[in-house]
Amino acid sequence: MSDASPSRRRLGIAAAVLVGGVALWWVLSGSEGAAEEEVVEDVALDEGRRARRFDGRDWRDVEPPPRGPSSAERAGRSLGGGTGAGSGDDPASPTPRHPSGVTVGARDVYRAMTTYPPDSRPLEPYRHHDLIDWNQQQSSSLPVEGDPLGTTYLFTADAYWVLGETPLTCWLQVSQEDEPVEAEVLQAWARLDARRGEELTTAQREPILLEFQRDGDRNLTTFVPAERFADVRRPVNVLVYVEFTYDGARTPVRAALQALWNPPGQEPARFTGEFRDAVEGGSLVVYVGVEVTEPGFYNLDANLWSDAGEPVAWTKWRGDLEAGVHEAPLRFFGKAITDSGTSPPWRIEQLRGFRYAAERYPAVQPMDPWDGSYTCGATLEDGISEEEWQDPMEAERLAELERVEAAGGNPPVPLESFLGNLPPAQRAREAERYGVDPNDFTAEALAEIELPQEAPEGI
Amino acid sequence: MMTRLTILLGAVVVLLGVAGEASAQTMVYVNGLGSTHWLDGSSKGSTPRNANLSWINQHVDAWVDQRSDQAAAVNDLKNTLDQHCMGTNWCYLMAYSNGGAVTTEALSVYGNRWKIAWVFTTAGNQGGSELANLGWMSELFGGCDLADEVSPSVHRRPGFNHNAVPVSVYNVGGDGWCWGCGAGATHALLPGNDDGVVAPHSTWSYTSTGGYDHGCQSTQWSNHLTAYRCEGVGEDHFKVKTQHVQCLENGGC
Repeated sequence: MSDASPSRRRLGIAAAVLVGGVALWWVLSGSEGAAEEEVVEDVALDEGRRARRFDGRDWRDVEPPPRGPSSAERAGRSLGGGTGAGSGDDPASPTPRHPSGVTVGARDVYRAMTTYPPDSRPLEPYRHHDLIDWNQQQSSSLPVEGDPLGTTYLFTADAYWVLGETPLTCWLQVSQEDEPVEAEVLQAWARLDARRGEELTTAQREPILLEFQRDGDRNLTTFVPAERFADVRRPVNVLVYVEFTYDGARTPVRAALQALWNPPGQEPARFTGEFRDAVEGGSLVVYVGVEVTEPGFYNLDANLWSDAGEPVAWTKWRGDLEAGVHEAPLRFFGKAITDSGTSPPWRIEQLRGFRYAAERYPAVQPMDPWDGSYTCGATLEDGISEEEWQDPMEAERLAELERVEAAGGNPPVPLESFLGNLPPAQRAREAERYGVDPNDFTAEALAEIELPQEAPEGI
Repeated sequence: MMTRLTILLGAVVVLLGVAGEASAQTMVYVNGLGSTHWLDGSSKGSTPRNANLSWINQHVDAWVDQRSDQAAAVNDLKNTLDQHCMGTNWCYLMAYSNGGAVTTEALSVYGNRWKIAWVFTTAGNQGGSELANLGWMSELFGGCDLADEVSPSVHRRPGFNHNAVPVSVYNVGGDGWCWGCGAGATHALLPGNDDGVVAPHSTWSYTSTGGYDHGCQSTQWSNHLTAYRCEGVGEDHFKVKTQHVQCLENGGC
């Protein structure tokens, strides 16, 4: 395609657009009726069917659970917009759909978001818990379907990446009204999932049975994938299932979780433990030694902390690495450091990385993380800058945003989301610009926002 | 008359197509779970369509196969972006449902590789859906293999630093009753004021799973922003498929 002549390319484009245009006309000529039919068809199909669930149980006869009007309906009614408000059919409505009544345009969003580069920003424990406890399973309690007792359960594990010969511990907690309920595990098993690439052998595909033990108010099991799944020589997903019951349960409940296991000796690269740091271009650059076994495209991540344990910044490095020993430059942006108000020495922790190979499944090939830390020698006096980041494409990007803005095309952002998106020091600066109190836009304050409620009948 | 209209339309789009080569603003559409492309006629929910915007002169219906596995879908999108968004064109990405997760995963892993102005999702699944853990996703989306791979723990897994996206990700979503979701049964399984398939923590890119009422609470990933309005529109997941398109076309929603 790249060697096609311009005229042929034009012809091809024209033909494609022509087909698209005709298709669009055809769609538009019948879109109203078709859309109506589709909605009606959906409802009729789902109300009537009695499909079988994944675990073989019958579809339950479900009474719609009590649910008040949606927030859009509440806001619309209380603001006089009717139940249809917010459906996009009343664009001229001046009614703000956010408490501040202020929206922020794309130019200001761009300006604020490029104060720091996209790959290194201030580290905020509240926002970036997933970068700090980076290998934690992001699970939450789930309700048991159709349970009139309001029973919930949490099925989770102590890690997502399971590396080499390390064990995986999984546990189940069942609760009613925040009080633990004793559960009985009926059966539990784990199996490997490798849906693309080199096929697993029959033996490797065989599920393994797991034994759960009572551990306080939870049921727990620990197993070592490297011992239970023999001769696996590539990263694979491990799927863990548990079926359990409890007093008052209507049917057995099935829960599942997933982890990524990299068998011993399958690391695509390793951290050598060699570090050095320097201040370059106003930022702190930590050179991390990496020995690459399998060349390819890598992501490396790390966090920067003060010696007193205060969060400073996070960074991500991406790039191609050839086989051999290399230094990867992890850049912590200067302003993110100065905005933290912390003093040196700074140290990097939570250093981890992976090779990303889209042609494989799973695409992520994890490296063993560096469990230690490295304390940097650089100080503020070495030239760490408080200057904002300069996007090399700033002029071109702003011109494009302004062109689209003039056509009314950029999505505006409620002030709550805009300020809530910023780290504390930047939030304070931007709040002053907008003449509002930054304390009204902290995570805690935003969590208290309640949109207008439905007005009482008769008012 | 039909013939004349067709000829006229063809002449117009030929001119637009030729002109588009000189200065193209490209809108790339990313489909949702269980489908292979945005204009996939078999995809569930509202009829997908391209946006009618004067400032866009090229529409790309990305081939992103979301039937098998997430990594393959990310690779499909990467190929589309490599083809259309690495030259002088400015790209605008419009993603629906799990297309939001595919898009943000690609941006996080590959970084500032493409010339993208912004991303706009509707009912995005960036943070994963609890329904995947319960088998409901497979039920709702025709039993595709990818359905069990779109849960919060998978989409929030290590490595995918959702904060490290090189462009702003704008989000809108729905919070209406979903009759098509097992007569609304899934609402009880999702935390917060959901649309029947994804919860607000996912649609509005919150850093934690949990129950949220709208898109202006607590903490979102860096550079993920709520667009136009805090609360979701009063429609279900399948009816908000083109909500991002409608918001842009109407200049509000």
